[in-house]
Amino acid sequence: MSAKRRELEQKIGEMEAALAQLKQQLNQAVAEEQHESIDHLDDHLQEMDHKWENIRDFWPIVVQEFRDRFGKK
Amino acid sequence: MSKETVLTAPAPDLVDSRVAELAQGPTWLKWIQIAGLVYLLLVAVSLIGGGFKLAAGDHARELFAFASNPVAGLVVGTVATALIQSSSTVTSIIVGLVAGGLPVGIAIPMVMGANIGTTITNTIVSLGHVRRGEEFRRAFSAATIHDFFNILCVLIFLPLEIMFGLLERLGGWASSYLVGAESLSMKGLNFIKPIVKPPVEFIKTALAGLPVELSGGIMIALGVLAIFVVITFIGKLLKSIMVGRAKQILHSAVGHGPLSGIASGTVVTVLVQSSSTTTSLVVPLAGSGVFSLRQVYPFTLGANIGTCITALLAATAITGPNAVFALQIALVHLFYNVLGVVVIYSVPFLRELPIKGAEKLADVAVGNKLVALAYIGGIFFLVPFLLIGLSNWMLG
Repeated sequence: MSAKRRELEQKIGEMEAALAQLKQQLNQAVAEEQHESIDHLDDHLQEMDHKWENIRDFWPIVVQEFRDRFGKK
Repeated sequence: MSKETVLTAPAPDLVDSRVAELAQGPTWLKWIQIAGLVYLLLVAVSLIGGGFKLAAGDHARELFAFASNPVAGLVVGTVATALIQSSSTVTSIIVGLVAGGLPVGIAIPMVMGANIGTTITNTIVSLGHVRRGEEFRRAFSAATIHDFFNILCVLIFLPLEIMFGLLERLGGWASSYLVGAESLSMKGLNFIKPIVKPPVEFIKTALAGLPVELSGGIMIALGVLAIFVVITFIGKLLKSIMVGRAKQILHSAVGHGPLSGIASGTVVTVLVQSSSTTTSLVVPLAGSGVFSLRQVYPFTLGANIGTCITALLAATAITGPNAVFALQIALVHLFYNVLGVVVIYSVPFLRELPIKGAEKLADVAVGNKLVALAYIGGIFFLVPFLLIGLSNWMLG
């Protein structure tokens, strides 16, 4: 086996190990974010109680978009 | 009948303030209130059953002849649930109607429609993200994935039901087994009868002077109103009590794959007695980008299974010869949702369809909000009525 080949194999091995470690760190960071978001479940539940306000906010945007698309220029 | 409902229905603001008052206070008091509300739910379902029996007599089938077209039944379930915003309310009412003589075959498409109608709530919740483009795209797709799944479920199971009566047979078999078996029988649940019967009989006696059809109609209206109030109050109370437990369940599901997601969605829905609460919860979670669409998908499917508990609970209120049919329709609801999850989620091609549909729709809606409006108006109101016209034309 040539030295160059050994060197390349070693580099790939190191990179794969580093990649696996990064993936693990990413998974951990994602899980942490998810746990943190779940901790705010009460706030999300409150959002449900204001769902009619969502329609009130949504309506002017739709009307504006309708005017932009179909209104007289 | 609708007149009575209008006359007796409390104003929404009044209900909201009463609900807010109820949701405060010590936990033990809330549990007592929940027990009382469950009792009221059982009375209400029994009231609808008794009222429908009085009003319709032996003509229940004729009264619902318009819904003998399965598409019409589907539309009734969809639109009623979209308007009331609670599939638990609609399925409990359906259980009561079946107890009063509505044929199970007519009720099955209504139950399927209730599944579709309930998805409007989380779609409305997702509109709260409309001013933030990318967030809206994620939130809207997390909401509409439930719609696509439920529509796919109907497309698979409604034809099977029409051709082979698959769910009716399954529900019939299971309900006769449960009613017949001594260990887990409805006879065993007969303690319900003595506690539910007195208020129903009291109302029946109070209305005795009126024509039979009218008193039956009033009983149905009172039952429907009571179910609506009970489900609203019980949902708020359970949300305030169970939020901690729901958090624990969600924490334990993080990073544990789709089966864990389905199980946690089921359990959370059973705890809060509302699938729309569960499916609406995931909208902000997905909207923020913390959870991906694929991660929230199994959770919403669990909501479909968990919501069946209310109809099963409602069925325990029914005693007598129609108890078996009330249990049958509640079990049909359960089998339909469990089979839907099993069939669609286990077949990769089918599993991907709701994901692709929700992603494509959200991509379009984020650039054109009129599409979002047309989608909501179309899928929950316009298309259902067009379908009735089309199916009547094809059948007629």
